[in-house]
Amino acid sequence: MIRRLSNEVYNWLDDRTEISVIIEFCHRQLTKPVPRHLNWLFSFGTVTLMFFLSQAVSGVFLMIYYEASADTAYESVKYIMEQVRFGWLMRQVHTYGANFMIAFLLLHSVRVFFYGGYKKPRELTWLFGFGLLVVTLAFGFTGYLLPWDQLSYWGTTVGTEIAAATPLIGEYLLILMRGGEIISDVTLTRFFVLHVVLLPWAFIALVTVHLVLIRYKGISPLEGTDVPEKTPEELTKAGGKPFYPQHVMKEAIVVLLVLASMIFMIIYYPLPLHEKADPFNTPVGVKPEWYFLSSYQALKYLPKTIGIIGSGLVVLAILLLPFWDRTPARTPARRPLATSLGILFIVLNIALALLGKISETEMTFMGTRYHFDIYGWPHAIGTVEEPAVLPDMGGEGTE
Amino acid sequence: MSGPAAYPARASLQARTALQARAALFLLPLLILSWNTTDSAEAQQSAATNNCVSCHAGLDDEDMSLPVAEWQRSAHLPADIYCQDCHGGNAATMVEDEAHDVEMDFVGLPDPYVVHELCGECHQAQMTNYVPSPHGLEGDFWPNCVDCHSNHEIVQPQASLISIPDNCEDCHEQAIMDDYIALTDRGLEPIVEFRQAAEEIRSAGVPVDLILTQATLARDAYVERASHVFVLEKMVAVVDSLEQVYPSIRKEVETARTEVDTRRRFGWMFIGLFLVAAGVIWLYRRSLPGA
Ligand code: HEC
Ligand code: HEC
Ligand code: HEC
Ligand code: HEC
Ligand code: HEC
Ligand code: HEM
Repeated sequence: MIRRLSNEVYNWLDDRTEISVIIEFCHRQLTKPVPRHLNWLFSFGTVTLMFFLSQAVSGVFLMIYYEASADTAYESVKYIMEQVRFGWLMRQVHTYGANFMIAFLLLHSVRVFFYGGYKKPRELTWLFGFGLLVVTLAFGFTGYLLPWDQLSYWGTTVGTEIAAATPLIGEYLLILMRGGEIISDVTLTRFFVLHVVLLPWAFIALVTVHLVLIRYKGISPLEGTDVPEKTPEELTKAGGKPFYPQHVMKEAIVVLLVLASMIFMIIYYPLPLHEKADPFNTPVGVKPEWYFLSSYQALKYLPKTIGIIGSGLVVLAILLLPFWDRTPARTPARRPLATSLGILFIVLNIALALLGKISETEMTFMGTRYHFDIYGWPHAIGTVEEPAVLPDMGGEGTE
Repeated sequence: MSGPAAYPARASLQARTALQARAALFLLPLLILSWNTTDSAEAQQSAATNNCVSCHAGLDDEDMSLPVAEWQRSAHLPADIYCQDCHGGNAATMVEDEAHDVEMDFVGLPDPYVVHELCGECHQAQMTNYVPSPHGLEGDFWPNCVDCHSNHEIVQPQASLISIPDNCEDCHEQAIMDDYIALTDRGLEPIVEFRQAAEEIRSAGVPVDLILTQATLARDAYVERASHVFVLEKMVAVVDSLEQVYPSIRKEVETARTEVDTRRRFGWMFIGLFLVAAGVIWLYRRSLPGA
């Protein structure tokens, strides 16, 4: 009875819209097999995509109360965290989500690199993926300023200063980004517009092409580019599983685990809102967000222009990777040079980020107190006398 | 108000960085050398800020140099209170006679009978209470502020200060001291407790501004009416009235704690839910043909 009715509705719709074509198409796409070598590492792209959706949802909720002006931004975020029902949750999901998204995006790119996923015929997938990387980092950079606290204000100040070192156009670039000499109301509004209007649409456009290309070409095989790729039928014969439900479920599991760990972080280590931004009071040891830390630190060791041009060249090399790395081999073991260079690059970045993290801090190591200068280099500043632990009288001082 | 110029410290740091980095490109030995220059530059800069400090730190006479080391450990250094704020004089010169110029209000050693006025310029509430106290006018300003707090190593007063023999026990029976300590504990310990709880709760993401404001109000009331009064009956009255408001602050703390617990409980519920869902999907996936 119900089946008859739904059939009827379906036919009625189909007569008018030819919806069956679409359904047929979707069905074919969904059941298209994926190669059997797909392991858990292949779900990082999907995790990233899930985070984009989560960012969109939590972002919309934040936008209801957020007011983008230097006078109100900080207060509105505080209001969201303290007064709005579940506002704290939305903000935590959004800020943690941003960090998780970038982390998984980086993991995804690393996965693609080591599996040679960018090689012929997937160069375009790589290019669009790279565009997504740029857009996502821009999301992070612009979003960081929006709460308008000390950290975000000064982090953005040093971040935009890097751009100023670009040869010839540096000064103009700086003014363009800041909308003036210093970070101000004007900067905030243009970052806001980028963050909630331009970047989301750019992301949607890029990710659509990225995904269509992946569906169209399938996930890259393990064999080199000199071996013809398998058709779907051959894939199934070789043990490939349908995309749905097998692979989708694998990804669902990963997504659930990642979400669970994010909730854990939110309830035990919520990200704070710091003091309100104060343009006249530079805090010590200003640093950008962790994902910019390695390049920020690298630039400290190099003369400005050389550093900027150098990192520009590195970025260009990554962008054009599929066009100069044209060896046929895909699996890591069969291209030792690329693999070791990749590992070296990752280790270098982690080391630089760590140096950046400890720079301009103090630490006690085996009874000696060290100060780490801006290069992250330790200087002994004396032995520590353990301060006597005395009960405190609750004094906070007087005027 | 242009960027770097508005923030001289940072601008000079940048200039230094750029300069050194340029000289040291890829030349590790040179780079290490340049690190050392950073140090001497920094040392020079901080020494240049105050001539009293730089000259006195190097004087052979212990009595003349020790104050510097003691002051450097005190609460006054981070608060930017320098030698000339208490001793007067001209901190802009390295010539001894000019530095000790009486025309520039150099007072030498502050007179013990007016030390309270000196400190009281900035610590009004303490002076106001101290002057009419048994230690003030009545006691001929003995002990004065620095008899209890020391001349230079002035730190945040600790409970232990009260029982240091030098401070109270020289002149007082242990019985009075016990009463005094018990009273300050009753008055101040809850405030310490509220502030610690507030820090904990804040780090769990729940707002505590109200708790902190109330704790500060209570603390101010204590400082204004009970601290440095040194008359037990007056202190009892203040502490009693404070104990009237502590329960309401304590309730505030409890409410905030409950909020933290609720968030964690629901968080764990969702974590559990997600893990179970993941497990179910995993099992179902394994049961699919060809797994
Ligand atoms: C020029 C102003 C000034 C003078 C004079 C001054 N102080 Fe201070 N003092 C401060 C400031 C500012 C602080 C740090 C902020 C605070 O805690 O109130 C401070 C901190 C203190 C503290 C620690 C308070 C705490 O809760 O941590 C004590 C104790 C103290 N001063 C005692 C004295 C004594 C005793 C004198 C006189 C010998 C004195 N001060 C003279 C300004 C001054
Ligand atoms: C060029 C070195 C120099 C400078 C600068 C200097 N002093 Fe002195 N100061 C001395 C010497 C030397 C003595 C010991 C003089 C003596 O015993 O008569 C002294 C003694 C003192 C005394 C003890 C006076 C006494 O009567 O016992 C005080 C207090 C003092 N200085 C404070 C200051 C202050 C405050 C400043 C900065 C405004 C300052 N000094 C700058 C060298 C200096
Ligand atoms: C908070 C106020 C305060 C500050 C700040 C301060 N002094 Fe003093 N200083 C005093 C008092 C009070 C005495 C003791 C006077 C007395 O003994 O009668 C004293 C004594 C001294 C003496 C004589 C010590 C002795 O044993 O004879 C010297 C020298 C001195 N100060 C130097 C300095 C120098 C140098 C600085 C800066 C590093 C400094 N003081 C900062 C309040 C201060
Ligand atoms: C009899 C010893 C004694 C004398 C004299 C004394 N204090 Fe205190 N002071 C204390 C004790 C004990 C505390 C901590 C307990 C409290 O806050 O009541 C304290 C606390 C302080 C604090 C920290 C804030 C506060 O009130 O708790 C300041 C500032 C201070 N004293 C300044 C002064 C000044 C200024 C004078 C001189 C006018 C002075 N003290 C005289 C013993 C003394
Ligand atoms: C140099 C001696 C001296 C020192 C040190 C001293 N006092 Fe006193 N104190 C007196 C004198 C004198 C009186 C007034 C006479 C009396 O009541 O014993 C007094 C009175 C008091 C009273 C009032 C006693 C009462 O019966 O009402 C209290 C409370 C008190 N002091 C507390 C302290 C505390 C706390 C300290 C240490 C932080 C301290 N005193 C340090 C000399 C001192
Ligand atoms: C926000 C950003 C991104 C999203 C949502 C995303 C999503 C995906 C998804 C779902 C896949 C399927 C396979 C897998 O998950 O591993 C994939 C594959 C791929 N991605 Fe991304 N991606 C993003 C960014 C990037 C970046 C930054 C790069 C590289 C610069 C990149 C390059 C590729 C390539 C080359 C493939 C094909 C890999 C293969 O066939 O083996 N992607 N992407």
